[in-house]
Amino acid sequence: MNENYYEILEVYPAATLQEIETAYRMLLYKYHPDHNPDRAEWAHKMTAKVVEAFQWLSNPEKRKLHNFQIYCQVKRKAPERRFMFFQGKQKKQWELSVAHFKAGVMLFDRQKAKAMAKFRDAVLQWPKFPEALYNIGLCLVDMHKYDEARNYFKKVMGLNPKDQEIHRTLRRLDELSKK
Amino acid sequence: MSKIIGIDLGTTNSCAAIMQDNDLAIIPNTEGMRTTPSVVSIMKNGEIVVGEPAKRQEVINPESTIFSIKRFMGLKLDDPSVTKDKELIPYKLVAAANGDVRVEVHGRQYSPPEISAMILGKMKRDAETFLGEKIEKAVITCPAYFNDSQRQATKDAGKIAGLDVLRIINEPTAASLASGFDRKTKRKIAIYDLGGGTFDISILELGNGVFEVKSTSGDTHLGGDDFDQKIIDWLIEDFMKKERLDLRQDRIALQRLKEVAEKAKCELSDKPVAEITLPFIASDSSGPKHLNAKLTRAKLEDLTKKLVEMTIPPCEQALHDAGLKPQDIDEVVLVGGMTRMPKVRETVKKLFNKDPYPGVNPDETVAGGAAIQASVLKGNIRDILLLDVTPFSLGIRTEGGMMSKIIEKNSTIPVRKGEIFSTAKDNQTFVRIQVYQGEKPMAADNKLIGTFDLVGIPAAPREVPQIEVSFDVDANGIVRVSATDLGTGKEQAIKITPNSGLTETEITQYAKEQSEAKIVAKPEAAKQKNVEYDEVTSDKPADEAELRKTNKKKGLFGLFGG
Repeated sequence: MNENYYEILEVYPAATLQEIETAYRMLLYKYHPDHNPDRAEWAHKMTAKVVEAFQWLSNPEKRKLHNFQIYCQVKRKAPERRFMFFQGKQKKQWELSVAHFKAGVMLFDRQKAKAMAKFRDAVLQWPKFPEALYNIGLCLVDMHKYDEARNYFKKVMGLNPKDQEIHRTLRRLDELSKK
Repeated sequence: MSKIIGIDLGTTNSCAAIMQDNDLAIIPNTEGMRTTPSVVSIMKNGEIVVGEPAKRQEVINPESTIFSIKRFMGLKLDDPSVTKDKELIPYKLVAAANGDVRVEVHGRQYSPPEISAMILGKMKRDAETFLGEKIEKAVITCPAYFNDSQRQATKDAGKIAGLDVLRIINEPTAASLASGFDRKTKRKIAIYDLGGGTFDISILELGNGVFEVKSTSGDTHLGGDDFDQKIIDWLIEDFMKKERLDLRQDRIALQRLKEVAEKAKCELSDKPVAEITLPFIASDSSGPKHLNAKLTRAKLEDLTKKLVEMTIPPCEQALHDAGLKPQDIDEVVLVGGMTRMPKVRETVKKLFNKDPYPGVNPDETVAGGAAIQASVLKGNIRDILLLDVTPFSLGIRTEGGMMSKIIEKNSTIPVRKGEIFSTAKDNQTFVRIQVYQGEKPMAADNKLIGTFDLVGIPAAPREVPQIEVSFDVDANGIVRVSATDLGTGKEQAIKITPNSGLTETEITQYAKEQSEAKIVAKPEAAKQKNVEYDEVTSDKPADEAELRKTNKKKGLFGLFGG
């Protein structure tokens, strides 16, 4: 799971830039290796985290993206029960598709491009796979390809129009892509 | 807790400082000077002379007197900058087994960290004499634009000298700490550091006691030495025209030229004309020849115009990387002896459209900053925080020899980035990762830091093992690599083959050798008729002052004929 940078900096998601900056400096005093010579390893790790969080939240574009990411989490579970009755070739295709999907989830946190390739493989095997389509959308958002992402989310909506979550996701995407 | 000193290990001069009871003090050496020349002389009998006495006898022993060793720290012999600098030095450079630079003196090879350790050793002993207690810990500075292996070499030098190096900090950053800024007000400052051998520019943002470096750039092979060389070349040519004799063949003459060139350059900072006289510099069938020349400031500026201009692009780069314009900079601080040159000050003034920040001693500020940082590490100062950046991008070599960047340059340190690796073949048990530092798109054009082998991966089909390798740049700017197997959550074994540098055993061995080496205060040649050596072994620092007294007496007796 992607880390929540607001939690790391100990600020509210609605915090102003000023507040974020203050929190960042306070935490640096607390965590920086210079001030923690007796536990350098821990200090290094914590400072690196705080610095990364600040880099994201101090940049308005990146902050918007992060807001999107923490509200729209990657789909981790492949729905298995629904397709129990498949037999033969179809079953094999479905299993292969799920294997690709799982590999994609593993890669999602760190290598979005490779993860997206895996989700695409999953969709190739099984075109009506809403979770995989949704995750491709998330990968595309991460690469700032908002229009392509919107198409994928709309496909998910087409598969299950009653799902409220996808409507929310689309609304957030509109906010994000608004200049 | 024992005292921690700050050391500015410079190319031409080094300086040590300490914070005592909130007062910053420069530690004078035993010769009474506030800076020590970074010169080491190794005698035939193994004696080592460091500092002013070594510099004084440079002329007599050009092959065994080593100066500007910082230019070769952490570099390989085939590095283009080394090939260039090799021409300018009288001592001999050879390659070690891994291609690193070694200095050969009297048939023995010395690594640059060893030579630097001799200088650090002297700083340490002098501090011990001055403070009257043992010094074991230090903060050492290095140019901001030093890469990983150069930093590692600096740290190794400290270890060889018997110092626990608590932190390597960047020179311009250190300078900003000691420049006497009011820590509370928010402002942006530029530190322009032109020293004896290196040039650095750093842009900092200051506020609430946080000194945050925004960007840094520079040139590790540009400094006062190059200015001296321009003067030497001019003198040689001038002499060639007048006397038709080539002084380049004569190493002793070259050494004497170097001495006067440096002196003339310093003189020209406040005088319009410097007179250069070197009697008996050469001789031919018609008798001895003398060198007489007049160097005007205008001529010097003309000779070194290119060198001064070379500092401009890094400044622009640093401003660009920080996303700032020259008018956004509130203060410009000049550090390094070369910034005394009027032309340099003028260039900086034109570039930033601002007068330099007053009241900064260009020779001592860096050491002062190191001492302040030492005090922060000790816990005595709690309201200062240094946040530096890494000067180069860090990346790995990917298929096709491309460089895939993992940590961008000017990232705030400490920084950690994780990357997932997997195997390409079934049952592959190891993965090789080559880590590079630099900005070029092709990995081979950048500097290889080291090779990391993930070993002992459990046999599995390809792409199944998921190994997360985390790349860390610590607060010293030194790169570390570690790995975890995401499948098992266990630490993955890693075999590190650094591309250069000393091994742990070598460091321990050199440290032992140096603690036993004969360090003398005066070279044998200068002692002349004194029968007893005035030697001081490094493990008896407290005796040094006493020995010095007795030597003085002996010296007097010598003068009056015993």
